[in-house]
Amino acid sequence: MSGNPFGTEIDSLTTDLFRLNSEISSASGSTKDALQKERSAKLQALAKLDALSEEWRLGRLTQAVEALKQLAVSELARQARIRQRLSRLLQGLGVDSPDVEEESVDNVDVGSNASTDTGNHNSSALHQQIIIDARAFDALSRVAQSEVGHFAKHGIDQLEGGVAAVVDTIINRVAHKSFPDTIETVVDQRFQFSAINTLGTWELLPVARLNIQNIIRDYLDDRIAGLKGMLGGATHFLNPHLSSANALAQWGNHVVANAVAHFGDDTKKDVHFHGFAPGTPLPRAYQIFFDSFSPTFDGRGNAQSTVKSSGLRQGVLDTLEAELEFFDNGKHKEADDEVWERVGTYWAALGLPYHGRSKVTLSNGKVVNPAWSAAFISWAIAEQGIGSDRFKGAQGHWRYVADALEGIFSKPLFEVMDPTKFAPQPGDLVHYGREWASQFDLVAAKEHIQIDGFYPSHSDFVVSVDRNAKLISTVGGNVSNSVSQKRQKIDSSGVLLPHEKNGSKYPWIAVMRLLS
Amino acid sequence: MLKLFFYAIGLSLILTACSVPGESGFRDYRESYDAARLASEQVVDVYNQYDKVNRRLRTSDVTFDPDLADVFSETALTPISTKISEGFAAATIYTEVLARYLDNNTLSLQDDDLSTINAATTSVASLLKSDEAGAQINAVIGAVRSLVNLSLARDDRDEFVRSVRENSQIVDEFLMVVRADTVDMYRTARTATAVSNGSNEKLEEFRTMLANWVLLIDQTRADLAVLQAQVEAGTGQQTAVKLLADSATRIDRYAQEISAARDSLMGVF
Repeated sequence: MSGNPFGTEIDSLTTDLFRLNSEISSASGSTKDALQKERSAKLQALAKLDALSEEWRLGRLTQAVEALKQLAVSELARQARIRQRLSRLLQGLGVDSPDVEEESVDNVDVGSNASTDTGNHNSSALHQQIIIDARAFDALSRVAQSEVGHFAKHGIDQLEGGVAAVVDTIINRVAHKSFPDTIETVVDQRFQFSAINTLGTWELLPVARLNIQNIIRDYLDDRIAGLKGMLGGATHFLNPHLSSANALAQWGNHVVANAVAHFGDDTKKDVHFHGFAPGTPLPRAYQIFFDSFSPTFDGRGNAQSTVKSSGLRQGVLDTLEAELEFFDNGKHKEADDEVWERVGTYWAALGLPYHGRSKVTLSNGKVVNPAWSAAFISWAIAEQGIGSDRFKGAQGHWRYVADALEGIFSKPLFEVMDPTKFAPQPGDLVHYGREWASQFDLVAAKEHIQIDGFYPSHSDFVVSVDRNAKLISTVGGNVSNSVSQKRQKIDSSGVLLPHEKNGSKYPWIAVMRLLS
Repeated sequence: MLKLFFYAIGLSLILTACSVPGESGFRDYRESYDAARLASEQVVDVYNQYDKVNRRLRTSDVTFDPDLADVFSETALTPISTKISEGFAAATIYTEVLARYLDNNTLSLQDDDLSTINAATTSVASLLKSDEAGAQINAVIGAVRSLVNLSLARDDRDEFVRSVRENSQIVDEFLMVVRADTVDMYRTARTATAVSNGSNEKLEEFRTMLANWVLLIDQTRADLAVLQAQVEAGTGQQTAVKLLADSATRIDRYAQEISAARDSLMGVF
């Protein structure tokens, strides 16, 4: 038994409801009214009990689930530590030791070579998981304070930026195949952070002040929420005023000349330039754990699973977000007072006079609302300032797919991708057949376009990808007679799984990859 | 010196022989576990519909409660559905950690580099043939120290195994809680059916789906116990591998039945 203290009462009320349903169906007049009144009262009581029951169940489930989450995290971290220890042992055997020692990442005037490869420590993996537990956080805080804790004298912005940049550098290094794969071991790597050189380990550095810890905590919280890394994947920084001529010649001048960020005050010779040492490849994709998991970031620190993008792609996403809000995520229907004229705006992008209350009469006499999903797509793209030289709006989705397949543009806006192989990204369109074309895949659609042309179809924009949950979210027009969001399942590599309707599965025709 | 050398060679052979247990049968198990999780998602998909019907009773036509926002979203999960999904996601991570260990992926460096170590030891042997006595001694001592350290890494691995064994109880408790919660999941579906004057046939179908799910959970718990035994016993547990392969077949069957039920029940409301 579940032990739910509200279960018996809920069961009793439910039985009463079944009885009342039956009696109401055969009753009439005042008897029926009385029964319906009784039913309403029972429903009210049930609503309260259901809420109490839910709270009780959530309490029990939460305890078990949270314990499980903690276990998963700790076992992952343990596995990483074992791997790291083995790596070091193997390095001790000379299996993987670096040929040269790298000069300190910041400003130490020792060593002579500035190889960007400090030893191939990280094993290959789809993406690196960076666990920031209390100890790792302590290491980050102490070393950040030792490096830039004094930047406050240049202004709070320089302090906050400088601290976050040191944190990002370390994160990028942990994600990088050429560096160790934990926060602590990256920080303790020889000749990398100046304060460590004399002490040997971060553990001998002073504990970080609260303000430094708060800056780091806030920044990590933002990264967990999907904030893009601030350094574009950069793994090096230095103060050129304190670096050796040799280091400057080998990599420092390159970093300064191509800096992705700098903090401090160059005029006072107290500055950090951040960038890539010559020939340094990007880090691997990574995921941060800091109380909870971040989305997966690519090597440049862009979140792959949240709506974080730039340029055209971001513009499309912003437009969709605004429209979704305008329609209150599907609550306002096409003919509602709040939105019917808005639908007219979409149609206007095609030069057509329809709106959300338009009716058209079919040849069989049936009166319908004209479908405006393709008009919505056309409008959303036109909003980005895209002209007909790259994308021609259409009333039917098949039309712009055909345009892309036939290669009618010299610089097309979309590329047709095989949905069984290409993982859609935010800003892309996902396209499928409807009605008699519901079983169309890309091959069938191509054939049909060549033979005939039209097939009933629909497309939605992808607005987010969550590979952990194996789901994407899409936004489309005329979805449930509104602008609405839907979710679709993907596999572990991000490729779409067949979409489902009324319990049946259907193939996708294409992912329309948005080109910049 | 020669004694040290043979110790080094012997230790390296021991390490090779005691490499992390990994049998192809475990890969089958991992695939079945993934199938089991997918089945769980399907159950939650259907349950979610029923749950929303009841949660809707708490809403009002004239107000909006953000805590009940899921009711108005076609795709959102209710709090209970979310919690169960989160639990299975975490359980899957744990299972993958365990499976990686058993597949020797956790210590993936070991396989490749043991051969390198052996090659290094061969180099030591060739050094021994030379006249550079000082270099010989240092090389052998260095190799032995490294190999002893590597054996310490094995100790770490054993510690990991013990930890997994002890912590598996947490997974089992989660599965027990979910199993117990199926009582309330059915209760929710029954209530929703009464509230919406819905289909009793569909309710019965959901009960069958839940039953298959419970059997799947029970099987998963049993498999977890087998897996723990495998971890503790190390290599050569063919019986355990056989049990796991058998259970994978059963899991597939339950998963298929749940999948069929899900197809039938989605869109009931």
